[in-house]
Amino acid sequence: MATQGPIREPEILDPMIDPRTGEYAVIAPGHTFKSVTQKIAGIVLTANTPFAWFGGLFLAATIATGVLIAVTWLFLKGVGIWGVTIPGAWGFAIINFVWWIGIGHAGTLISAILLLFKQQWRNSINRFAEAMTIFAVVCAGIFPLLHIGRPWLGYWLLPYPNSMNVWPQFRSPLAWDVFAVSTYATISVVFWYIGMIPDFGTLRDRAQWPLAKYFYGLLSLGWRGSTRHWIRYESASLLLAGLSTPLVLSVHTTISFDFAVAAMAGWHTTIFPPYFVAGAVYSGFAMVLTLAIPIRKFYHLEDLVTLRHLDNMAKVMLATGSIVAYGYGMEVFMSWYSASHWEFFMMWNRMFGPMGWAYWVLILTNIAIPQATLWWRRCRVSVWWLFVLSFIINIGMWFERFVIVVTSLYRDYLPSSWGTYRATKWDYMLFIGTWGLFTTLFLLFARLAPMVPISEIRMMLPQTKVRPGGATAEHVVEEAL
Amino acid sequence: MPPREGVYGLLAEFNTPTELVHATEMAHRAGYRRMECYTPYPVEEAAEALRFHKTRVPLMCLMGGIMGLVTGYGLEVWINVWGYPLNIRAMPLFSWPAFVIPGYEWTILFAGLSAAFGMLAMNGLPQLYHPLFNAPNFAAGASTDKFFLCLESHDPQFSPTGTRAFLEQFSPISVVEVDH
Amino acid sequence: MNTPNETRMNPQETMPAAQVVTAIAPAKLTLAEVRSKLEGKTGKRYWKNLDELAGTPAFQELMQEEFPRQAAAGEWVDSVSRRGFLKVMGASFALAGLAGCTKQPDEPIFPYVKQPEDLVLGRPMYFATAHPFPTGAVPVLVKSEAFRPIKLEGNPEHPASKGKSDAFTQASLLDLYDPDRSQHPKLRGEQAEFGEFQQQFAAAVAKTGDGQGVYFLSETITSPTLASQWKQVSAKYPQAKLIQYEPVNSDTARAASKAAFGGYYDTQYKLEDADVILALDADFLGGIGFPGFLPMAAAYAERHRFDKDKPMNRLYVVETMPTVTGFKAEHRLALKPSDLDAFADAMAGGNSKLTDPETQKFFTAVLDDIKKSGGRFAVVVGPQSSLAAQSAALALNATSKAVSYTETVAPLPSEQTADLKSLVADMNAGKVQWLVMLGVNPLYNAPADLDFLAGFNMVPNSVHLGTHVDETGFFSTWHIPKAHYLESWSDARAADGTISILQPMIDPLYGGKSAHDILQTLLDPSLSAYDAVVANAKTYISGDFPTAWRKALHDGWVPNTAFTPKTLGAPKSAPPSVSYPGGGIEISFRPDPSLYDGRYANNGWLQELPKQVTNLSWDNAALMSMELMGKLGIEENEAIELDLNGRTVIAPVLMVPGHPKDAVTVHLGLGRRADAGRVGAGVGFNAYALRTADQPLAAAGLTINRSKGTYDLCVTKVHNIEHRGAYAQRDLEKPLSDKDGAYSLAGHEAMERSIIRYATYDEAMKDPEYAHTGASGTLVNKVGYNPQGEAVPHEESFFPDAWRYDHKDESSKKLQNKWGMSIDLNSCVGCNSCIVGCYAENNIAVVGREQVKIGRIMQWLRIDSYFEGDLSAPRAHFQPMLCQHCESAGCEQVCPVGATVHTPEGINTMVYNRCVGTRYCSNNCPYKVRRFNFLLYSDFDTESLKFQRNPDVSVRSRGVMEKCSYCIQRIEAVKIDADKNNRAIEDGEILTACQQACPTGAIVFGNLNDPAARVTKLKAEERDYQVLADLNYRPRTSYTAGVINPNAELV
Repeated sequence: MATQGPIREPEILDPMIDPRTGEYAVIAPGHTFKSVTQKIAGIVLTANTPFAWFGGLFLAATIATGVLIAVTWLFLKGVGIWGVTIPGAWGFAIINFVWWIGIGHAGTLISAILLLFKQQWRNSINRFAEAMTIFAVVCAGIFPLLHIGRPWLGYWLLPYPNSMNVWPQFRSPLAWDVFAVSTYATISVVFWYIGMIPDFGTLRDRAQWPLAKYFYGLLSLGWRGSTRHWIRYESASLLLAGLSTPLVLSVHTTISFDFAVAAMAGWHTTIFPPYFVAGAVYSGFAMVLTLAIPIRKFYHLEDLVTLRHLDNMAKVMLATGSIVAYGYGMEVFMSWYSASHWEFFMMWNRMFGPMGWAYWVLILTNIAIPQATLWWRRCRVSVWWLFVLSFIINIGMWFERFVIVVTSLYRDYLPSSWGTYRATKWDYMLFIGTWGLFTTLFLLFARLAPMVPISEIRMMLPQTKVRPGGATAEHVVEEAL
Repeated sequence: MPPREGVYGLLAEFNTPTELVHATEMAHRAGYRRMECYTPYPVEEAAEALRFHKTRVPLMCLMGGIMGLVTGYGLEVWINVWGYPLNIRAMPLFSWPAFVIPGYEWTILFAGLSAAFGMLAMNGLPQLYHPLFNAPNFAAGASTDKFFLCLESHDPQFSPTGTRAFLEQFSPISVVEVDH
Repeated sequence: MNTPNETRMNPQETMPAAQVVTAIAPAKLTLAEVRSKLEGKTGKRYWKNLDELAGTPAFQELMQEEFPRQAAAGEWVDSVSRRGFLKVMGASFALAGLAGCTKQPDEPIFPYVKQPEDLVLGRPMYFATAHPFPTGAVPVLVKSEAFRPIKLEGNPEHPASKGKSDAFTQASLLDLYDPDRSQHPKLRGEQAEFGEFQQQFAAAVAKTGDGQGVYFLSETITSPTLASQWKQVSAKYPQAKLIQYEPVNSDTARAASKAAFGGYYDTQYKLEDADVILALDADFLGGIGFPGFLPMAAAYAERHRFDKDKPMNRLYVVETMPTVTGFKAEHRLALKPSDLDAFADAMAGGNSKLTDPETQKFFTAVLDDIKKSGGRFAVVVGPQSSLAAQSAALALNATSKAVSYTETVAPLPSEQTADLKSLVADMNAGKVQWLVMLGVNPLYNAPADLDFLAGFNMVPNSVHLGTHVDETGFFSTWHIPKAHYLESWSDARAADGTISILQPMIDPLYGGKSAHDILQTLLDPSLSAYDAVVANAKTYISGDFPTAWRKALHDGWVPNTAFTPKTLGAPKSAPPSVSYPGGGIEISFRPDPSLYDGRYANNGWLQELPKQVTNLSWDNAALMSMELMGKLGIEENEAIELDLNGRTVIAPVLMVPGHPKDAVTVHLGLGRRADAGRVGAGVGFNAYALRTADQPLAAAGLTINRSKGTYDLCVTKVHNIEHRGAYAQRDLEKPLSDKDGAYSLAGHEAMERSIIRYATYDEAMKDPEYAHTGASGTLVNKVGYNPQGEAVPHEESFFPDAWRYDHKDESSKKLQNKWGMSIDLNSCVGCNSCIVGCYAENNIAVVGREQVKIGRIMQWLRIDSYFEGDLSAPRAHFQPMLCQHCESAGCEQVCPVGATVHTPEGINTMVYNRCVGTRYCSNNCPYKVRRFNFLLYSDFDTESLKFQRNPDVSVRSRGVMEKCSYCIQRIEAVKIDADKNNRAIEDGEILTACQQACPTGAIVFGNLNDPAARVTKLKAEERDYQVLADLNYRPRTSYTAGVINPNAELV
């Protein structure tokens, strides 16, 4: 990640730039254990909650009620209130499911894979990236259950012993999904919580309000920073990271099988697994930016979440975005190279059929705009542009799923059963509702838990150096400063 | 267990990890064994000084993984071949490739859970009460920016006066007596 | 069957319904008490008793208490708000129907197969009767489950119909259970008694002495008994008058034959003897709206089957509105009505000039072909054919060996429109004292220019016998509920004249009466319809009457009653035909393909049935060609105002492939008012408003004005006109049809993808393998997932033999069953009767217009129609599409709960109660034959509908996937029976509902492990092919490629 960029004059003057590397610093200089602790814990333990937070929460919660309304009506009437039909039996529900799950992936990637690669810069952002993962999975998890015709029987997809002695059908990708997604959710939550235990300890010790002390005391499980604990803790974290890495790759692979295993032209593609995973990370990092940028501004975390982070994340998006672009290219190529009428017609219809517009929106938002800008460092470190771009990319990734699900289905093999797909107000209400749900959960998290892992930030400070052969007074003085 | 009486140990507070590691090293050389460091972040040198090297967490993780794999894949095979055999798309009952993913996921699930909860178990957590929490300066520092060395009273070497003197020589910020 | 214990059985029979309702609403008077009051009463006594009961306040209260909670229930469970309102009424009808629903009539009727000692529940009995229809009755077997008719099937032993049936007959079952049927005699809207009417009417008529001023306006009388009853009446009251009128009638045929032979005769076509068939506006493959449809369709299909050793017939069709007949034709000429008359006149050697070269060419070709055939030809005309066409046919057929003339099927033939005119004149003159309307609805469908209502208002006493309190019933002084034909005694003649006795399957649900009862009122009221039928039957049943009568009931027809051809002199000169002044845009009126003249408007099955050719469901439209649309600058779905001599209707526009320019076709029978009932009310527009007495078939001088707004028509299969653009032509075999011009993309793709395969007769003779090697109508060089788009060689599959279907039973050494189906595309004429048969057999839900429009129709079986070539004159192909029961079924693999699996006999089964509704199976089904209950579609509220349901098939609820099951319940029934009698299942013993209903025998089902089975033989033929074979789903259903026999001169 830390490539040596050519050092330009104006940036030398920037205090955030490390003169030795010319890179932006991961943490602003001059921080001590105490200062970072105070800064981060202060956000949670402060007595006066910012008014804007209440405003945001109210707004988000209001939008989230859309979920309640839409789901109530859905249970009363059935999935017929949605736009799904024959031939387009899948619609918004599946699109949104894949989109949300994909967003989640960045969190795991940051917390797990970058940890294995010893990418120090990840420390400042991994906590809320993981939180984002979990909340995204929560939003995603709503859809597969709701989209089935008889949601009250959803548990039939789980392998549980029953008097009828019937079991799930393990050849179906949907059955695989159940395992993949549930595992993903569980492991993410555990990893996230384990990561927060020491910080809960810190909050417990710093909390003034007895109730808060009690609350964080429980959450911290009585963590006291014993060295033996730390060692086991570290190895557990490392193992979880090691496990999450193949997990995160497998989850979107499995989800891509929902399509790749089916026989529909436009779905039946071997390139799906890699490019689904890349796409997931792509949209995930976009979402991390969407969250990180306002947060660092709002909570003045600029010197913990620095331009270095934004730059690196932009680079990741550039990389994954290019993989996705390659995926699209391959689809087009194969539709010609396969010499299969099915593939050829599908691709023609996808580009120029009645729903061709969706494909071009996708190309514009997912490839054209990001590729046109992200190659330039100036764009990668422009906070505002990245913020806008993060939205553009997430729109693009939503359309990718729309194009895959809808345009492959509505004109398939038998021309007599061609139809079209039109989403209803209930589709939109539920989808938008999940945004509200996501934001609500995230705001609560930002208020109640440390957004940045304190202990991991501490480890990045220069003061952590241990000098062999004991210490002299000077050292003590020097390091105290 | 009934609340124990008396002194739990002596707690020395340091400003820097360097001092802590130095003191710990010395204490070990002096024959102290029942002791523990408390730091706001993992200090591997301290572990060195404590001669604490290997943890069993990876082993538990491996066990969990194997268990998950066997359970998951075994379940699928049993269901499809013996439990509830069906003609699904004229496919063989033992469609092993289709069974890979659930087995794989359960491997990870079991491994992850055993690693996490194994770690907690071996750390004896949750443990909401600990004598050290009685030390006034512990809560303030241990989880923020101070480094502690605790020599525990049930160490044969331990003597309230001698040990205190021993710790004083490393010029800690303070040495406090911790009660049960 | 008429033993007391049947009647005693009734309460238990209705127990479920009763318990449900009483549980909901504890009322002053519970249904249990109601039943106990009725206990032991039988027959008329019984019904009288119910009437008294209905009068009591307690009972009224009970009824009232039903309504609100039904409403509440209805709202939650229902999808379409209109259906919601309708369901509100639901339960009350059952109350009225009550125990009667499972009561046997008093008079002895005889079970078809064997008479059980007593009712065996779950064991259906079959009774023979016939479905009366103005063009001739359709003999049927009624499957009666616990004395409830639940399915109609053609009577296989009948000489004329040979077990075939059609859409109307299949659907007429639902009319019996129509919850909107009128339930009480009404006097000025107030509930009254039939007895009261009888006294009043008889007294009033007696007072006139000679019946002066007593007029009967009846639908076409098809019952010999009714005719003889009328003869008695007119003998007793010579001045009484009988007028028969139906909006769709045979006036032109009558007029022509009168002019030609001086009398009324029916034409009988023996298409098996015709090598060349010319149909002049005669849709003889469309349905029983055409006289003699069943035998003609069968004969046509037989001669149209490809057989190396026997010549194939050739069909020419000249018509205005495209029909399935037209699209089955080798050569079809679309002419607007006036041109068609000219053509016909020219055919008859008249002096009309054919200006258009195309027409001229066609004309000469046909004439030559007819001459060449040496008398083995038939010129077919029907109710819709103009007078000119009729006379032309008479003239040409004089030399035909395939055409004969017999006395009319209708015992009292007449020229109906003329009679109706005179009636209206009499009404206006105030001559009419009593107007007794038997099963007609003139206020809805009388010609607009007669202004029937004005005259009607001058009639002091009007009586309406009808199944519904319809437009006419509502305004009549007296309304009498009409009994359904499954509820009443009568008789009728099939198209060939063979008489069938109609025996009731069930006592009238709502105390309905038949026309027999009305006429009997003037004779001897003490005699019932049964007595009348018996009395008249003595005139045509020969031999010892009791045994012969019993046999007639048992067989469903009376032997030796078929007509014998008459020898008539050469036809005389034709009368002057209707003229079309001014030309311009012409309009032609046609009975609706699904609703006929509107009598089926409240029949959900038929309303939802995609209409032939247009695939329009729940609507009618102004049908026109693309040229005309272009000329007027209007788009599909736009509302236009049709103005014919000042009379106007607003109608949405729909393009019909192959419709002639400068002409508009409208279908009659829609636009019913609220009186029509919950289903039919307010659907479409009423085309009768434009129709005049002088020009009932077609008229000139139509002006079209644009109107406001659009109306989103409900078309189940669209034909998009899109062009790929030059660069995307690479893999097309017929790129031209995709570059420009008006081509149906779907139709073109169907050819490119080898979904439809056909060849000309000569090609087929040269290369019998054409379905796999290619022909003019077979593009198999397409590269799908597998070269040639052909099936994957067995051994190339991953697990070719993981499951085998050649298991031998250890004890009997018998090879297991292996079910499969073969469908002959040459024989399928797209008449839709299979779809309706499937509705009845498999309890398929009617979902309503809005749901159909967005693609949620529930039919398990659909007839895909593809238009090949330019849409102004396309060739159409019909392909019944149902679950293909793939051996390697993608739907099964992707179901996460194993709700769709394979049976050991190779049927792809849907396990409804295991289905959670992920709909993944539908996505992975390339044939898109799976249907999903997106909402609660099945009607669980309306009691009367529950009685119709097939108890062997579960009624699917919300959130469940469903699909064709190869009628597994029928398979199992036969298997069980075979096991019990320890015998093998014979080939053809198992008939799927669609196969049974198919009038041309296009569908064949059977055991693929039986080398002698027809299906096995058909699949062995070279022309047999699978749709989308290259996907290697290995479908069990395969199709036989079509063969057409075009005239070289016209190619």
